Order: sequence, then C-alpha cells, then structure tokens
Amino acid sequence: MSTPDNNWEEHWRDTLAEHETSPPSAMDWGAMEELLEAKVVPASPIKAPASAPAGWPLKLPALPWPVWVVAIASVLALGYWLGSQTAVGVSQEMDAVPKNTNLAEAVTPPVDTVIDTLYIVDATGESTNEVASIGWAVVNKSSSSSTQKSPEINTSNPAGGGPSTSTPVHLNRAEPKVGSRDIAPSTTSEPAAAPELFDGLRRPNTAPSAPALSYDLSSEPARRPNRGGYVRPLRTLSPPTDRELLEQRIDALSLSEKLIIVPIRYKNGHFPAYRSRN
Amino acid sequence: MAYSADKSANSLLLACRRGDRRAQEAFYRHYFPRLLPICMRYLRNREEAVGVLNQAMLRIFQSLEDYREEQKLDGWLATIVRRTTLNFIRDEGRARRRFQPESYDPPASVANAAPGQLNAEDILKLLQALPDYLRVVFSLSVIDGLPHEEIATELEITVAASRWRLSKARKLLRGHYQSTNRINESLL
Repeated sequence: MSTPDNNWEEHWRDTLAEHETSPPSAMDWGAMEELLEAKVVPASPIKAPASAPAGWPLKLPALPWPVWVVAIASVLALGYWLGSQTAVGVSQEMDAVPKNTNLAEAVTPPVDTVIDTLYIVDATGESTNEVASIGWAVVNKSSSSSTQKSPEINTSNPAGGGPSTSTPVHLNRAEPKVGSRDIAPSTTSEPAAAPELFDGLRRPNTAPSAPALSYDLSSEPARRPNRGGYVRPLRTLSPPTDRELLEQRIDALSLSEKLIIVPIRYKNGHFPAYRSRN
Repeated sequence: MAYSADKSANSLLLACRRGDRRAQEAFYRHYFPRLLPICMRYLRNREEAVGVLNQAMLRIFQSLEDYREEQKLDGWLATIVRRTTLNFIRDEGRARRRFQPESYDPPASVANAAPGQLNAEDILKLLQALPDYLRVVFSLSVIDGLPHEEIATELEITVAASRWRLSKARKLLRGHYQSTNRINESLL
C-alpha cells in the first residue's frame, strides 16, 4: 500500500538506483593508483617459494611437527624462567632499604677497629699466644678460677638494644685492669690449662708456634706469701715488635673457630638507616 | 593491450586477478560512475565519497580471488562499497564527531519541485544536507531497504534509535518541502 510518503521515497530509491555519476577524473584514478602502489596489490600473484633460496645459508631441517612443538615450548619455558629470575632480582632491588648516607655520617661516626690485644702468659713464662680483642676473646675457665676474677664482658648486647638472635656470650678478659701489653704471667704453680674458646671448644695445649715473649725469669722477685692483700707484682715485658704482633694476630685468627664480626657502622644495636626509619 | 568497456566483465576480471594495472584502470573507470553514488548517499561530499570508494576498490582488487561467477557482480561490488562506507562512518573517532545533533540546512539550489519529481542530483544534495546520524539511517532504510534490526546492528545502535532517526529525517525533509510549497503558493 503506497502512501504519499512512500511515493516520493520510492521515487528517490528508483532514481538513485539508476543514477550514475560522471566518469572519474584523472585525479581520481591517480589517487587510486597511488593507493594501489602503496598497498602493493600484486601486479602478479606472488607464489611462495617451494624451497629456500640458493644463497640462504641456513636450511632448517625437515623435522616432524612434534619436535618443533617441543623445541618451541622449551625456548618459551627458558625465556619464562629467565624473565622470572630477572623479575626476582628487580623486586629485591626495589625492596632494598635505601641507605641514608647523610644520617649515617651525621649521627653515627664510623667505628674504628679497636685493637685491644691481650697476651696471656702461663706460669712457665711461655705465651699461650692468645689474643683477645673486642670482637674476639678467649674464655679461660681454669685460669680465671685461679686468678683474680675478671669482669665479664657481655657482648650479646653491646650497647643496649642489640639484636637478640644470638645467645648471650660472656667474655672474660684475662687482666682487664692492666695495660694491654703488660700482663704478667700467672705466678701460681698450677699448670697452664688449655685455654678454652668461648664456644666451649678446647684448644690444644700446645701453643702455636708464635715467638715467645722475651722476659727474664731470673729477674722474677721472690715469691711472697699471700697474706690478705697480697698483690701479685707485675712484670714489665719488653713490648713486642710489630712483626711479632702481626704474627700473633694472624695465628690467633687462624686458630679461632668463631669470630664475632661487628659491622663497622653497628652502634647501639641499630643500623642508622633502620633507626631513622623507626 | 587496451581494455574497453565493451569487453566482457569476465575477461576484465581475469586480467585484474593477474594484477594487470591497465585492466584495473579499465575496471575502475567502468564501475566508478555506478559505485560512487552509493558512497555519496552516506557521506557529506564527493571528495569524501571518492576517498572511500578508492578504499573499497582496493578491497575489491584484493578480493577478486574470492568472487564466484554465479554471483551477480554489481550486487557483490555494491555490498563491498556499502560495507566499506559504513566502516568508515563507524570509525570511533569519526563517529563521535559525526553523530552529534546538527542543524538541518537544506541546500538552496535544489529544484523547486515536489519530492517525487526531484532528480538524482537534487536528492543527493538533500541527503547530504541532513545531519550524518540521520542521513545514514535514512539511506539504509529508504534507499537500501534494510530493516531496522540490521540498521541497528550495522550502526551499533538500538532499534528504537534507528526508528527515531528515520522519523526525524523524514520530518526534516517533509518540512522542507512544505515550506517550499508555501513559498510557491505565495508566489503564485
């Protein structure tokens, strides 16, 4: 059923269906030709080469497809693993605590190595060649029992607030009251017991082949009875040479079985960076 | 080898399939006048329509291998041209700009005649004066005869929106001619 509206619409449809525009101009075909050249519509169908070109140096072997699948999967797995490893490294770097160098320099001065070397000499005048320092010391139970009780140094908490991961270790200095290089040998008749390391291991009684400290036994004064406030006389030892000190220290370090390594910036139980964050 | 319009379409198609550039030119020149009006129904002006038609021709040359002899060539070509044009219109960036309500300003150079007596040039002028979002729906519905469901699918709009746009386009065109008739009656 045609309405007045449909009449003109049908007329429009029929008119446009038969309508033809003017032929294309040279510009229109030029634009089309450029498009054809740009899109590289094949002037002749390009056939895929049946075999690799003669000059192609690498010829892939004709393997069955499962082999190719396995090979490609292996390469992908390797790439994934390498990528994950790289990602872990990157994440660790991102999680690293930034070092506040300004704060460290301003608040915590760098701790110098403290050389507090103690020489323990037994009754015969032979040095056991023990060297103790702040970070490493020798616990000599037997000698401590026979000598004056020494103050204990608790290194588990050096300055309060230290880490509590290690068990408390009590270190006994042999003669804390005297100078580090002027320790007299024990005048008791007890044989020198083998020094025991603080970790409970007993060191062999044979002293390491360190140079014996030179002092004259004949110059030892007559022993006086211990009556009350007897104070053992101190012997002045000739100071060891630098070479002797170095050798002794090397020997001590070679014999030690446990070292307490104190970080150089470790102070008050906190690293400066952590302290600043907390 | 020169190709003329009287050559059979099959020989022209075979030459175009081989990629003969002269055959492609003959094909282009032969079908250009028939296919360009399809683009002009949907687009604003001739320049834009020629650009889209060239894109459609490129697709035609690339798809000649898929053409089957039993198909009607004109219908096959018109389908490619219309789909290329709609793809161009449906482009997201253009669509956002185009499918905004615009004022209808009919061309003054249209012949002062009844709608059922207009020639093709004037019809195209009136269509191109319509806002884009109305012109496309009107052309698809009235000229190409597509149902609203297909129009909604093609333009990614709702069926109700398609109906509303067609009604709006008809109202604008009818209003234009009513005002024209009133002017004519006053002149008479």
